[in-house]
Amino acid sequence: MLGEFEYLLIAAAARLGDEAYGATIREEIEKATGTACSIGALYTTLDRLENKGLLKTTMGEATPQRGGRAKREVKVTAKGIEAATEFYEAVRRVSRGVTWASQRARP
Amino acid sequence: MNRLWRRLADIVSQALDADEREAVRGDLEESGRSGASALLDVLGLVVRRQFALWLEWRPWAALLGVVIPLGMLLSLLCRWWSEGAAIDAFVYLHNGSWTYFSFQGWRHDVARAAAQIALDCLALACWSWMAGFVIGSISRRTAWINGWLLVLVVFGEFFAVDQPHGRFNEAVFAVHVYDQVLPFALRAAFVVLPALVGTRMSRRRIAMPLWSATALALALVALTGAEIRGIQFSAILGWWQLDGRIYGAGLVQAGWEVRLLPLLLLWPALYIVAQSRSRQSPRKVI
Repeated sequence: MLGEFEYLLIAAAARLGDEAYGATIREEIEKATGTACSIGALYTTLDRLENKGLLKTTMGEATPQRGGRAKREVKVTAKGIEAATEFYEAVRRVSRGVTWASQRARP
Repeated sequence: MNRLWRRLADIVSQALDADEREAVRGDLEESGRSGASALLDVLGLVVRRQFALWLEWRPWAALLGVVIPLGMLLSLLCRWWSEGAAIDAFVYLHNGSWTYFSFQGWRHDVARAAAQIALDCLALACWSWMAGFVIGSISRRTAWINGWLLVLVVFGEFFAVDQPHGRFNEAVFAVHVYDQVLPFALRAAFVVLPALVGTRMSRRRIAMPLWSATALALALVALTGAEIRGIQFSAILGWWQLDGRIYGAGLVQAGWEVRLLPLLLLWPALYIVAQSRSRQSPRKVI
C-alpha cells in the first residue's frame, strides 16, 4: 500500500504526463495541498518509488529557463497506476458515509 | 545576498550525485526560489541522502578506521614536531647571527635541523594525503563529510588539549608565534590541506594503478621508518603518555601500543595496494 505522499507524487506525475519532472511535480503537489513540498522529500520519494518499480525516471534535455540544466523526467509505470488506483479506492471506501465526504458529494 | 545563498546552495549540492545535482539545480532555477530557500532545500536533500548512506558500514569504517585514529595521531605528531621546530627556530633565529655561518659546525647544525623539519613536514603531508585518499576510496559518497570530520579531529585535538611545554623552554613558548601560530599552521598546511586534496582526488580516481600504489606504499614505509623515533617519542612524551622509556642515547623501550603506531600510519597505504590488486581490470583504473 502506498503512503499518502507517495500517492500525491504518482497522481501529480500522472496528471502532468510528458511534463512531469521535479519542478512541475513539486508545484502541482504544493498547489493541491496548499503546503510546501521540500526537494528532499520529493527526490527521496522519487527514488523509493522507482526502486519499487512504480515510476521510471530518466535525465531529459536542458532548457534555458533551467539555466541550461537537465530535468529528471518521471513516467508512472503500469504497476504505479495499479498501486495508485488501489490507494484511491481504499480512501474512497473508507470515506463512505463520513460527514466531510458526503458534504462534498452534495451539489 | 541572494547570490551568496545561491553560491552556498551550489557548494552544498556538490555532495549530491552529478545527475541529481543537475536536476535539483535546474528545478531551483526554474521555480525561481529565493537563495535562502534554495539553500535550505538542497541542505535538506543532502542530509537525507547522507543519512541513508550512513546506514551502511563503509562510512563508519572510514570514520573509525581512518578519521579518528589517524586524525588524533597526526595531530599529536604535529604537536610534537612543531614544538621541536619552534625550539630549533628559536635557537637559530633568535640566538644566532649571520656571522656564525662562517663556522662549519654551526652551518652543519642549522642544515641538520632544517633537513629534519623538512622531513617531518614531508612525512606529515604524505600520511595525511594517503589518509584523505583512503577516506574517499572506502566510501566515495561520504568522502567530504569524513574529510571535514578529519579536519575537526585535527583542530579539535589542538584546541582541546593544552599541554605544558616544560620549564626549560618557557622563553620559546612565551613567543605567540611558536606557541600558537606554528602548531596551527603546521596542521593547516601539512595535515588538513594534503588530506583534503587526497579526498578530492579519490572522488575522481577510485583505484590507483598497482605500480603507483606499490611505489607510494614503499615510499611511505621508508618515510615512516625514517620517522619512527619521532612517532614513538611523541606517543611516550606527549599527552598520550603511552607505555615506554627513552634513554639518553635516544634509545626507546616501548610498549606494544607504541610499536603499533607506525602500522596505524601505514595501513591506508596497504589498503590502497590491496584495492589496486583487486581491481586490476584496466576499465576500472582511471
